[in-house]
Amino acid sequence: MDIISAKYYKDTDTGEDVGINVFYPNGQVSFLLDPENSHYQEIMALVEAGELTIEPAD
Amino acid sequence: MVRSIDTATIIRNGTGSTIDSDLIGDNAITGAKIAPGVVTTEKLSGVQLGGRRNLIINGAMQVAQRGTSATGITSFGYHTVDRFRFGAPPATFTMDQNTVTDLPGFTKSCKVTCTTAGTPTASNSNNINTRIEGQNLQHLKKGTSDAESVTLSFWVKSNKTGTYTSEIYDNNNARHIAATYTIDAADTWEYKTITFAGDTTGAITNDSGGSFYVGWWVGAGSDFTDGTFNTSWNNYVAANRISNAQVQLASDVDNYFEITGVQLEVGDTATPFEHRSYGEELALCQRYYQRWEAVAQFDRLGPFYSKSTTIGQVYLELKPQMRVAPTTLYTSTVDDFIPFIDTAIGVNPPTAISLFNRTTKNLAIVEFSRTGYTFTVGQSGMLMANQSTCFLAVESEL
Repeated sequence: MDIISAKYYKDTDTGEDVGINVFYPNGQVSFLLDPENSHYQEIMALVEAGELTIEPAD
Repeated sequence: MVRSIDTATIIRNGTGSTIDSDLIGDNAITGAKIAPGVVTTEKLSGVQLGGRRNLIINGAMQVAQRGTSATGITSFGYHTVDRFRFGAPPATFTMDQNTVTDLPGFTKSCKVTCTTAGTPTASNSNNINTRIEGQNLQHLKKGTSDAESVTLSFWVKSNKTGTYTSEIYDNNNARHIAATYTIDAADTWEYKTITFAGDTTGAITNDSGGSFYVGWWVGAGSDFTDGTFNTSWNNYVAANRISNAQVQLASDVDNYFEITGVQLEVGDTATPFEHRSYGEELALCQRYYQRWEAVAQFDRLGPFYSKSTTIGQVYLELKPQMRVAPTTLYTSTVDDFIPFIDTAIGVNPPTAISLFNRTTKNLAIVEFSRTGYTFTVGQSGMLMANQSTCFLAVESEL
């Protein structure tokens, strides 16, 4: 499914980046910055390949 | 000496006793006539007859929390039926929880169908697989001299006849074993059984991590087929993994592979499929994926409290406890949600939704932000659906 955009989000307790929201036409996937998480692995592979840029958190 | 049991006859001779070909009559042998201790488990077939035999969750493909059909699949993931992953790059497939009408005893299957053909590159693997936690495999005694064999049985159907590979990969010790089976007739359900020997090397880690990956291959690149096909437990060598006679399902559009009645059990005998109720299978699947979905607009999804003037936290109790604290949240678009406190705040959707990082195995916390209304800190409310398509789901799959 085509990715519309991706954006980091913060821990609202500490203010540190803790996850990434990836937006698709019909929904979104929100996942933590966990190297074991398959979504994290796939998104980072796209970033490394130069196919995706993750926006900074608000 | 000859004695009669109703119409059957026991014939005793020098080497023991036999019963002739007549049937032993009704009520001829009663419990009172069997001495205590005569019938022992050792005298049975050697397979586990009682308790839960099937190590596979959702083997009858009854549960599909993510949906019954997914299209445009180009990479591995859990797309439809719970606990079964699929991918067949670089081709494109659909994956369906298919309704079965031609296999008595089963009503659902997992079906993958090629929609855009493609030849696997050297490193492409094409398979359906399911993963089993190590703590659920300790009775196999893997890595000891008493290691148990296991038998995999399943029903399979495809338009594409030929040789297929099924395997078990030991993720703790990077070891694997595989076997081929043949689909003989096109478009016909066939029952297959494969017994894998016990492995005296490599103990399974006793934890909630993925230890056995059980796979049904539908195609493979040369990196997996160029070696000597490995039919006994050995250390992982990619080239020895898959038979070089493996069918390439992605060769043509509309090729399909369909499977159900999947069972993996201890021993060298395939016993009849252990049917579990839908509720039992759903609960087993919810250890890995839980979903809250609306049926209609304004359905309530869960309570929240306002953590700040712009942020709310929704608390979703996880029952059953999940395998590990989920690290992924799936949702429909933010426009599908309404954080509702009272009518005064209107029906504006959140501006963002995300998984809070202090989620545990027992409680998922979903955080949302909202503009256009200032919460009072500590205020409580209800996250509601603005559309019938609204859903939240968390995942801690293997």
